[in-house]
Amino acid sequence: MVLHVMLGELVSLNMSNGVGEGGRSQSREKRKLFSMQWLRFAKSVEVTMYKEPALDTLIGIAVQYIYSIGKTAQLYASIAGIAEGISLDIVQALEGLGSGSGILVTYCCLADVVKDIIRYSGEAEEMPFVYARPCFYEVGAEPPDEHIPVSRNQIV
Amino acid sequence: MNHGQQSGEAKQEDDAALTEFLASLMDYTPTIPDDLVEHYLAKSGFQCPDVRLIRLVAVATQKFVADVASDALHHCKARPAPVVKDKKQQKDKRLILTMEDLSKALCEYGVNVKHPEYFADSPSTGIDPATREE
Repeated sequence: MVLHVMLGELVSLNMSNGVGEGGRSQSREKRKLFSMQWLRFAKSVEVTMYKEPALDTLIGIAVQYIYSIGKTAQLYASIAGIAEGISLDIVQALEGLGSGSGILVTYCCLADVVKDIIRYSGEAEEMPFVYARPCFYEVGAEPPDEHIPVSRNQIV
Repeated sequence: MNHGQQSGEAKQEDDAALTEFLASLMDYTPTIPDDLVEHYLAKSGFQCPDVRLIRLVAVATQKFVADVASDALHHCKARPAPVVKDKKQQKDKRLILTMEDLSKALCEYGVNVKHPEYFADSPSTGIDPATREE
């Protein structure tokens, strides 16, 4: 599987829904924040410095990994005939991505991948995202278009 | 008959372990924000209002990146040390994440991010002028 560096994905990520020139500068700021967070994460695995292309590649691959999990889980949910996925769909997706062939054989016991994740969550240091992710309401700004909600409450 | 009972019991234990782990995720904050994971899951078509599942994906991604970075670190350490010319270089031993180590680590996961080979115009292209004179 050949993966391209999906920097465009991070640039298109628009949690505050900025568009145009202002949106592109906001996306660059967000990418910088995420890069700084990844740097903190990299230091936890003893990496002290990094080359910019390598960090960008790692970020892009992490994004693609999330995307692949979602797509595979949605496929399993569709096969089961349900609209919203459940935990078993994600477990099957993780098992499928974890195996070399990408094919899920049988689900007779808890996947080794999930057991590794449980072990990892118990051993790894908790490192939450420390940088602020303000929405329009908190900043006191107005969204550029009417269809863009001001705060998360308006989405529901 | 006994084998079937044992496999049934094992499955129940696994289901209980998964349920317990999902409940514990509410107390564990992954490095990747929930908003970001939810955004990309929604983009892929996977709709899920359950925060626990979003955090499960976040932890899985975090583990994946940690494994890749760790493998890249091993490749970096396994590389033979270059010839040290002065003492300052000898003291400054930093572990740098490079595309070379990262591509080797990702190869094991079936991901190809190698740069295409560089074809120079002449044999002396890219050589340091000082060494070229020698």
